[in-house]
Amino acid sequence: MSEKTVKIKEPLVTKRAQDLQALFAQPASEETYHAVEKFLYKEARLLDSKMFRTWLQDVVAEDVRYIVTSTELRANNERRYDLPDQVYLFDDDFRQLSIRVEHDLDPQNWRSSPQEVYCRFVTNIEVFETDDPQEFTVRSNCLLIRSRRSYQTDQFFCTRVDVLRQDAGPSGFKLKSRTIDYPERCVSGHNMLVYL
Amino acid sequence: MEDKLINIAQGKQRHEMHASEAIFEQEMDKVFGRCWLFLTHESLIPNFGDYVVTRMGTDEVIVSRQRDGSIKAFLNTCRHRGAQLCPNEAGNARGFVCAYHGWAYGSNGDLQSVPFDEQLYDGLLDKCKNSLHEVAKIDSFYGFIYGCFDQDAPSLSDYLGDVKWYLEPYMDLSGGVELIGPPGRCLIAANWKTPSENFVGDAYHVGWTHSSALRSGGSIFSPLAGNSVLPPEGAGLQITSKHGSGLGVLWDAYAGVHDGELANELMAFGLAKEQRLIKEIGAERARIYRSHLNGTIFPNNSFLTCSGIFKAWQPRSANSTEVFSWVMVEKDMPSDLKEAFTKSVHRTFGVAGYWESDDNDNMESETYMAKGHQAKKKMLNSQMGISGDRIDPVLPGVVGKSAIGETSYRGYYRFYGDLMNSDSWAEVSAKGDNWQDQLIKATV
Ligand code: FES
Ligand SMILES: [Fe+2]
Repeated sequence: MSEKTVKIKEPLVTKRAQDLQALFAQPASEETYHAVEKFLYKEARLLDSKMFRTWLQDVVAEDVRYIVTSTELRANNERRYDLPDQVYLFDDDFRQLSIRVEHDLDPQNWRSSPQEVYCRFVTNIEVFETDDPQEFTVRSNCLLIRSRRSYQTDQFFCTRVDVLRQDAGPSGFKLKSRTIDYPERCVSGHNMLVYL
Repeated sequence: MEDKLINIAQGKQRHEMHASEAIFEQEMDKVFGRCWLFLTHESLIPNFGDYVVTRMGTDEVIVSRQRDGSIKAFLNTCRHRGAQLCPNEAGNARGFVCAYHGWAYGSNGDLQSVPFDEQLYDGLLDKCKNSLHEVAKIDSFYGFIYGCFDQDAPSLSDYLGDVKWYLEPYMDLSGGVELIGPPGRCLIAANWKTPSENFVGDAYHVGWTHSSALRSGGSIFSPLAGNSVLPPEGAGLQITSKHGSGLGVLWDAYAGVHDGELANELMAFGLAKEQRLIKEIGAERARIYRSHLNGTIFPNNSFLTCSGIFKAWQPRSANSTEVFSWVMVEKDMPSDLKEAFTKSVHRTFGVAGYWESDDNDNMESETYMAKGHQAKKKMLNSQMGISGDRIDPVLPGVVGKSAIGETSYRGYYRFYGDLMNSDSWAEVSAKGDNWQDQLIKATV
């Protein structure tokens, strides 16, 4: 600490960010783009309407992996402290998402009565091809506003990176994975009992 | 006012304690300024230079591993103009440099360099007198590190007192536990005492508050859903201690809130270890190892053993609390089981935990209602089992009459009342001399 010269080191670029950029190389066709856009709006409508069981059935793949992480704040040039920097707020498969849905819809879930009201804004949609012609990487931003009881309004916002698989069912695709690194380190919205 | 803030003789507390900013200010002095507060676990700062930034009451502190392996903690405040010194949550550093004017401190808190010191201060800046403000006392038990601002506080071991006997089998004799970070963090609109009191001794709410979680999740506690049954007589215990820490025991409930195949794997792991521990520490304490403990280390550090959640309820204001959620897990658990367990702990009791969200609503509504001008003057009731509290020949602490009762609420607020009504630790200790009698004699 006593030397007067400051050595500027290259800030570490997280492996995560680099990995993601590679996913966004090959834009999908206009036709696919519009089909995906419709899919995401339908999903938002089902979730805003609390049609969670329909969401599971029509939108979510049975082999889904649904991940929301929260990343600890560390110095850009941190090199020596190597304990994990992410906590998994969600890392759910289909069965685990179903438990959450049944928990929410249970008649003795006191917090669900009166109902919360949701409004989702899905924007910045980009669709990319993957190695598998049936599957697409989709990047989108989601702003979810939740109104609760008389006075509470919470905002949740994030970037979602999804893998969608083409599907013969009513939605055209199924959600194979969703990965969110939640931007707000200390979640201000009381809890994250919402689907982003 | 109908009554004083804490009525020990009748097990009642004035509702105002959950919403008054004036009481909150006093608490920062008399409770958080005096008590042992959870900082971190050794597993999170294993090496020299490792640090975490955490909270003690409304203060931020840097907790830093020293060259000799010891641990120090400092206010995260620059001695110059008071800027935040370290904006990171964790890392490894030889020191900390303030972003404002560049004063630089070592990881031992010494002020090491000041830009243009010689030219600008004419030799009048004594660096030795400008070390970081150090937390008076640091100590640990079973790897959990606590700090205390009051030099006169009893040792951490004395402070924990009777609860140690119950914690030792799971936290130490098991081969030890570690905390898995980073913590989940969220802000709830609740007074810090509302979750602390719930974890210290509320087995009563489980069947009702968590009815939907019990029904959908399929844990070993599921039969309680909707209060359809009461846990049988002898299902567990509840105890409290001199300095307000307390806990509940549910016998043999090792799988906790976990569900599915994970619950079976956990049960098998716990049973196998219990068999081994019976030979080493005897059947009684081996059984405590494999039993589910819910508890709070006074004032704001809660845990569920076996379910695996470890919490600090950090006070931000009278009606705002920041929740920190770590996973507590036995060190020798196989790594794939540990990983599945860690994710399940956050799924149940983390920021997006479906059990946690059931609880938070109650805590927020208790806090919100305490703002009512009439409501705040009224007394809250923690009288369940009040005439059944006793001393047991084997079990330490004051022991309640069944697993479901409010003995540890009463012990928690007995000590809280002593702190709030005293000007020093000497006075607090004197008031607590006959603490067991105070609780045992309490009656409606
Ligand atoms: S406030 Fe920190 S160097 Fe001036
Ligand atoms: Fe609870």
